[in-house]
Amino acid sequence: MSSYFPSELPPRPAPRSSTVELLGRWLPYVVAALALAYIISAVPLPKEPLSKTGEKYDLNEVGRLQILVDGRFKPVDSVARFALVAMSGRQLYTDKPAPGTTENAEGTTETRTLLPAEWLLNVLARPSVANNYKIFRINNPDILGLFGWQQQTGVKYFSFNDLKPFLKQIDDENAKVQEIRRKAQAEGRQPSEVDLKPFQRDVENLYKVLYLYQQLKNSIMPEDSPGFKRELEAYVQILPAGLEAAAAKKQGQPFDEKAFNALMQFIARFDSLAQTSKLNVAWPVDGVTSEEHWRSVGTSLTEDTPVLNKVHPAVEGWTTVLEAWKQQNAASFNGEVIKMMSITGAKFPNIAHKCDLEQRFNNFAPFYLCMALYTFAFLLAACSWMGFSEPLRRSAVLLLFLTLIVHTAGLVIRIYLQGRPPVTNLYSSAIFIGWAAILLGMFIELTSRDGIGAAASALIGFTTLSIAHFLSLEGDTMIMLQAVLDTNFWLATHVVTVTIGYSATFLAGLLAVFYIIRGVFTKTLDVPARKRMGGMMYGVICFATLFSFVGTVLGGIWADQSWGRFWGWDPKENGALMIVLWNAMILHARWGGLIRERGMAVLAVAGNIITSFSWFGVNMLGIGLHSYGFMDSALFWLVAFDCTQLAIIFIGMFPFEAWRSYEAELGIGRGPGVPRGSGNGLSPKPVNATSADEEKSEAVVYEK
Amino acid sequence: MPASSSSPSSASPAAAVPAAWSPRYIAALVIGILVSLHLTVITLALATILVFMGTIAQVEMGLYGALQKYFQCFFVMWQVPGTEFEIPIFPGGYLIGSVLLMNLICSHFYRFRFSWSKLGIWLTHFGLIVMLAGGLMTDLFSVESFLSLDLNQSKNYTESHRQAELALIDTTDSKSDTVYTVPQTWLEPGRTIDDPRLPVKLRVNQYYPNIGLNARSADNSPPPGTPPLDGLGERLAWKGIPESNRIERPNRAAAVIEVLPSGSAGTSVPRIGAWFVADGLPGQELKVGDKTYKIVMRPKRYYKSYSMTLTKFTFDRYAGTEIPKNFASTVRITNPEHHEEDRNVLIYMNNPLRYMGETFYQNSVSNEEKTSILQVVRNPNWLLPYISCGMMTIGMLLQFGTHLSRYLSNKKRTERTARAYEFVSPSATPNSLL
Repeated sequence: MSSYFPSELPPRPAPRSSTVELLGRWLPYVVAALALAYIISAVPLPKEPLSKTGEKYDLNEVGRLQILVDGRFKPVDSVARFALVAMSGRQLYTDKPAPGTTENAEGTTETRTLLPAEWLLNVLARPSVANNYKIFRINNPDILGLFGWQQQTGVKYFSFNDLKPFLKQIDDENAKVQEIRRKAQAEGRQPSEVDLKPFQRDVENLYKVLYLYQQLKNSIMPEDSPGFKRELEAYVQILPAGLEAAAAKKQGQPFDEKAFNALMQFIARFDSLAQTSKLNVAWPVDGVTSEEHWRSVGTSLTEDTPVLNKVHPAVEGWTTVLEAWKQQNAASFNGEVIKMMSITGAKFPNIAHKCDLEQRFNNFAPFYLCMALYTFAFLLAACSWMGFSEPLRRSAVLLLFLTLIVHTAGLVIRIYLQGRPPVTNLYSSAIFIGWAAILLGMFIELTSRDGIGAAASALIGFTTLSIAHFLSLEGDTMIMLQAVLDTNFWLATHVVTVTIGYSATFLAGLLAVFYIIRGVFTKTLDVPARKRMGGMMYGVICFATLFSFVGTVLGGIWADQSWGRFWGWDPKENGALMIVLWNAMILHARWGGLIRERGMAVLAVAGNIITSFSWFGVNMLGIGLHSYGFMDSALFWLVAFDCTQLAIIFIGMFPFEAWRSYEAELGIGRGPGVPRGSGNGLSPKPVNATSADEEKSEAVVYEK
Repeated sequence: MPASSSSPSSASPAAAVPAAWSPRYIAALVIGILVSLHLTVITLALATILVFMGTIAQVEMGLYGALQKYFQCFFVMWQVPGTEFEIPIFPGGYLIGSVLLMNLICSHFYRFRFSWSKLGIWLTHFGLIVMLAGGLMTDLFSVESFLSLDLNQSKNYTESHRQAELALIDTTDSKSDTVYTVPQTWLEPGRTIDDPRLPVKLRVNQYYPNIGLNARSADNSPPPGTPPLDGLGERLAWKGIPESNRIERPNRAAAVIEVLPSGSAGTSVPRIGAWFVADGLPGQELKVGDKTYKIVMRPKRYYKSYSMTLTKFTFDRYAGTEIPKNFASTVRITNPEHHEEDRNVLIYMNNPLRYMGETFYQNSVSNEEKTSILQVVRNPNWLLPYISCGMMTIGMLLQFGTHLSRYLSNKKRTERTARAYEFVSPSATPNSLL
């Protein structure tokens, strides 16, 4: 920023107070140092708690263990976090004494946030403890009423044991909902078209998460097993005789019925385990299956074990770890975890590395961090308009830079983990829209240096990351892509470009909101400020038009390449087209002199409504190839957002007599004589033109 | 500061104003409107609203319905409730598109003088003209159909997704069939189809663009007025239902056809028989003299000079999930008329086959993953969008690039002055207050 100080500038005048000057000079660095300290403090993994006997369990190491779930490799840490999010809406669980009691689920009085892996281990190995964790969130008073409970303030989380007496009722209510779905499907309606009442939807969801919980409990070893390790030993022992008997029976020869029946019993037991489990922990056996083909414990026992003649090392390892955890045997626990890690690390260095990184990424939670930092940057930028402007503004810019680095790092790590371009679903689009808008806003800030670009960046950053945060509550944010979308080239070109178009349109809209509020409610929007902000809006709209156009067209080319039609009037395509048309309209109206800064601002705010429709609204239509998922609560927020934008448009249409910034020019209020532009140090020359003069001069420019 | 890159725009004619309402005046007025930027702005705004309405409408009426009602028409019509009466309430896609096109062409002829500094605008606008024209041509000339192949099945035709046809297949000769087809549009109830090219005369007793089909029972009987039927119709009941406009729910066209000997005149002639035909029902045999025919309602077919055989089909999923990862079909093309061609091609998601002016895309699978469905598109001007997009992109880059560089150089200039001022009174007064 201070890279070029023209040499002919007058010497810096003596500051009024050296303390203030000193503070002004050092404030940005202090802010940056604090932010840096905050960022760095979030990097290391949390310390593992010591057990009651003072031993340490390598829980962070367990959190890194690789599992193939839903088509991708996740560390245990992610598996636990996504399960917790689905059940409680939070990634972490804090175990504390229930209201009215003094004991938590562990039977102690402490309040402690569990490591995700720790929670999962308890679910897998110590259900008696895990069943007491209050992780099921129920907000719906009707569901509580179903159980005969009254809604109490502050009590919305329930444990499995709390819900256990009502499982039958939940099952029945869910069956009714499924009946509605079946009927709708028979009538040819899509799942998203089925109209469910809030109660029905919540019951269905509660059923789903309870099912998930039960499934999780039985995914490595059966919950009812008295000692799974012993069971496995018995299985391996009878296996040769059992297989021999089975082979003999197949060929119609006499066979050992006892051995055969024993084997069948085991197979049936493991099969039912395989049915419920989605956690594929057993890596491929050399020469038997391909590298991607990991298996669950149940499947591995019935398919790998007869080939290997022993239990798969992963199954062996997991069983040992869980039993050690159950018996609180730290030495055996730690030893087995290290053993498994070293095997996978050597066999699948790539997968192990990614899982390792993902665990750190989860813990670092860069986007959550950025949300806090953007808020702070916005406050700094906003305060810079009140006074002490330059130091505060510089602090905001520096802070924004730091935050942008974290934001970018998060984005890059996601790209690396997924092996995909940045935007693959709604969640990642929110993160990317914020990122691109901040880049643009920072560019504006660096060219106009009045805190507006910085404030707009920070506000957009905060908003989009908040949206991303709410979207992340739907579970895994890196799920695999449907076949049609499985093309990195088009994801990298079309999707990214069109998303930048969204970003720029939102940024123009936000600048327009600033313009209107500043003009109507403050006196600071003088002629140079109008010109400057008008220039910003204009530039960003040009940028938005270019990117949304190119993005839309690339989408057309993708469609032509992949489906044979350039344009299919798909809702998502239409949304992008609307943005192009609207931006093109604003530009033509501006070129034609039909509107000036104020008109541009009003139309740009309307652009916000259009962009929010095509970003979010079309997904709520539940139709079209592009729809990522149906969200009801988001509909409320979308409508709320659109209403605020309409209100701002309405305010923006007030006659200039009602704009405080025009009071002086129009001779209202304190009367004429208040020089405009006097409060702005950036105005290159005193401006004497009246508003009428300005309009005339504009008209000359546009109408020649 | 926007550059005033396009010139004047007032709707009133700039030329000398002749006497009121003389033909010259009116002509000038019309030209004035046609070339005005006001018209551009209004059309663009209307287009945005139209696209919005057309998108929302897809929820209710499906893609095809919304296309017809909003985009492929000159006016969006609204039916006055309780009447058959329809009134236009909004300009449709064709109208907006053609007005925009006229506006663009006229203003370029009338106002714009070419100069290198305006190259960006020229490129953008001419790209748009090519794009709009190309869009219209695609609308008029492109044909979409489907090719659904079971494993090892061969076909030398593709089928329409939307249109049906009535086919009369002469199967007397064991070596080759002769097929007579009647397009769907001819099937109007009460119409007698008497064409010298047909071996028989057909009378359409009933016709439905879409039906619901049931087994005949006490509760389910065919519509009143159905004559005694031969073949499958005796055991079926049907009911006309509204046409579906959704891709995922195709229509099932049906008709009751009375077959009369050809050359017979009047209505009293004894008929050969009556058949109920519906899309999806197998062909039903009928004998006329010594000839044997099959009568069937089927998707309209487009015959090709070559045939395609599905030799292999794979459907990959992501490990441990049901999420499809890829569909791929290996298809053998046999084309004796084209250099004795006989080769295998692989068609998969995002990798279509372009062959003989048509493009074959992997669309979906059905029938428990045994049938591969390819979408087949003939679009003679598929190249136009690419050309127009290229032109527009380069045009906009030029145009906005010049804006940006001008903005930045202006900025630099004002900044020097601004800095000078700032140093005179540093933070004495706040820069600005929101």
